[in-house]
Amino acid sequence: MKKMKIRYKLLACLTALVLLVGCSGCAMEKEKAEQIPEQTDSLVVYAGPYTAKFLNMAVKLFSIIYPDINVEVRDFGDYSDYQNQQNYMEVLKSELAAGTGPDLILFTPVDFEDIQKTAGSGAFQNISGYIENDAGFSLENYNSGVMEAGVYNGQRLFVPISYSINLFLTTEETLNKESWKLPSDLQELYSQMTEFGQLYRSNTERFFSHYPLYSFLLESSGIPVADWISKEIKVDDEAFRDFMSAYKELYSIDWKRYEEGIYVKDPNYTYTGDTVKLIRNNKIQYIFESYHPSLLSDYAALLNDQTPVYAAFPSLSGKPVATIDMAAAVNRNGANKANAYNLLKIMLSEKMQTYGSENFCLYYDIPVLDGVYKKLLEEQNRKYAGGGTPDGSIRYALIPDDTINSFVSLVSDVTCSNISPQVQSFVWEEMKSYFEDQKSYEQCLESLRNKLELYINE
Amino acid sequence: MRTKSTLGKREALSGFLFTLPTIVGTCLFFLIPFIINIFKSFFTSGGSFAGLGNYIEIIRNKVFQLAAWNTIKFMLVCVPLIVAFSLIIALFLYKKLAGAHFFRTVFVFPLVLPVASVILFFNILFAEGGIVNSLLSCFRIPAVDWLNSSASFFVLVFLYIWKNCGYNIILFLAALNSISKEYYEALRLDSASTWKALWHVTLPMITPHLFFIFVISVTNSFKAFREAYILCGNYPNRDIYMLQHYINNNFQTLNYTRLSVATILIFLLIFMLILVLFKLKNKAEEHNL
Repeated sequence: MKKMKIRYKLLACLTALVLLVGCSGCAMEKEKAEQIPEQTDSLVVYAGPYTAKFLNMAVKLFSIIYPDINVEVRDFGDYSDYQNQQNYMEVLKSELAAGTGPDLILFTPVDFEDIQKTAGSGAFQNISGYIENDAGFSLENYNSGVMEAGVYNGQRLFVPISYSINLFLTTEETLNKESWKLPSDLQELYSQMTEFGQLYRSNTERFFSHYPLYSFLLESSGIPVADWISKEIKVDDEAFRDFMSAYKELYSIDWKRYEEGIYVKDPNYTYTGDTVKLIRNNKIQYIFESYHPSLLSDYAALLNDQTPVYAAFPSLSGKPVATIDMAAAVNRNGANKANAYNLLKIMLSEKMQTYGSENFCLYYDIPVLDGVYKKLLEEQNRKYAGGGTPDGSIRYALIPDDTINSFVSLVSDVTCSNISPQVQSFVWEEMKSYFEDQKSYEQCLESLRNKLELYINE
Repeated sequence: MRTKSTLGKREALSGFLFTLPTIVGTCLFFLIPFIINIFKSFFTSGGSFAGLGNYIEIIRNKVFQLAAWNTIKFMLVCVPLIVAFSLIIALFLYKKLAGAHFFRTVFVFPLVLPVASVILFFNILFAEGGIVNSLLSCFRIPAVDWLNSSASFFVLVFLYIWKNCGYNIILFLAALNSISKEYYEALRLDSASTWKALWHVTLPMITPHLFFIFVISVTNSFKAFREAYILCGNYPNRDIYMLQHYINNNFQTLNYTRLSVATILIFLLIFMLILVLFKLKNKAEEHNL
């Protein structure tokens, strides 16, 4: 009897506790845009293998501007050792999950496979309020299409530092051989892919590009696959089917050859002039490039004997699709948010944006601050014009200013990719059987839908 | 009296000192983080108090529901199967039939094999162009996509039983060996059947062991994620998407609020299950007495 009473009491207490917790939860306040917090005397940052060079330089500048603030930089080593990256991710993820970690997180797509999903998890601080209340800083001078990628549900959770877009380069002469012109929309590109795939399936001397295109094409097409924010899966759309059908025709001379070790170019050979020779020798139809200095040097080399032309990969919206290459976020649980915000502003400053671009440490490419990229390209154009390779087979001509200007305009008016590397890998894993004729399109789509449903709803 | 009391205190102290490393370890690596976890589960990722909001959100989440159902379904299918299967095998091995030693080794062997190599073997077995499908094609049975269809659930059940039954067999054999032979001799004098011996002597005598094996099998069924993960990745077919997939994937995307809540819900589920099993065991023991 006594035991029963104690049990009833315990049950009553537990019920009361549950109701209390539940009710107080209902009265939860909506989060407001925050003011910049009080400045502290320290700052903790982690130099990841892919971000160390840029971060160390930013910290150097920070220490000059704020000499009284003690900056602790934890180094995780060089990216040449894959283990360093693994260690870095293990430490970073565990610490962020535990509510600790660096005050400012500088990351690349190698670090977080789905930036939007990670941002939505709540690990990053909404800095909309910081920027609104900061009279000395505004995002006006930054690429708005790219900066928009950091906004999730109206909250600015991360700030892009650099981005890239995928481009095609070829010559009028190469296009004329196939009676083609540069593809201006997806349908034109699809018909070229289909035609080329059918024509050169058994001709291992001809390639569409020097590098397998699948993932770059998908990411640049702007075709919606799965929207993590609206929780929608869009693989049933015609646009997705059209893309898959077109790539199926190209697959056997694109990825399949790469997988079978049939290369048009030595895969370990990174010398820029190599791709120019492939165009000259009619081995490839397009030079694919997301690293723009290489593309422009190839352009300069081709100017000597042909009429080079370039274009961004066509997309559904008509605008080139950009990928965020490096971004920074303030740790929501960081103890030194004001200092982290100040370091972030230094990373966005002209000095750091120029440094990153000049020293090739913006992970891949284009700085987000307007004007910096144009200046850099103009300088490089002047520096390399007249030069060439030691064997004399490649010589760089001076690119006309108009071309530089139109190139900068092309890579500036962009939208951001909505396909994360994780979603891309799902599509590839599931659709590969369709490309290889092992399964029907519907069967592959069913498996893909299954994965995407789990992914966007979990 | 005094000496006895001092001795008792000394024994208690040495006992405490011996268990101290375990107590410290449990507190440091389990209890304290778990309490922090419970505390965190009542807050949003932004640090605002959410009450039971996080729990409600997760319980309403369709993928969580799927993961929870798959985990429970897996347990409901696997645990009775593995207990029954290992008991039957143990009974056969206990009879000391010819080749019993060999079979004992065969059943224990999967226990000592590294999971990664076991999974590699299963991949070869159940791949689309694998051994199983090749055998099926000999009988003109169409190939099954074992790892990317609903069939993956049965592959995982098979893998779980194959991998874990050896341990259960050892435990059952130990239990069977602890039964006094006199009971069986008495039954033989009464000309009782083997079935009667099993029902009236063997099963009642191994009840505590049976209970332990049941608990171990239940907890092991929750660990089948490791095999599912290595076999089919972090987003497998929806029939083998387990609660640990949900937790692991949310860890990858830093969603620690969901992580905390899901962990606590799993803990509650296991806790309730063990509680029910204890109650059943106590009732069974009372009934036997």
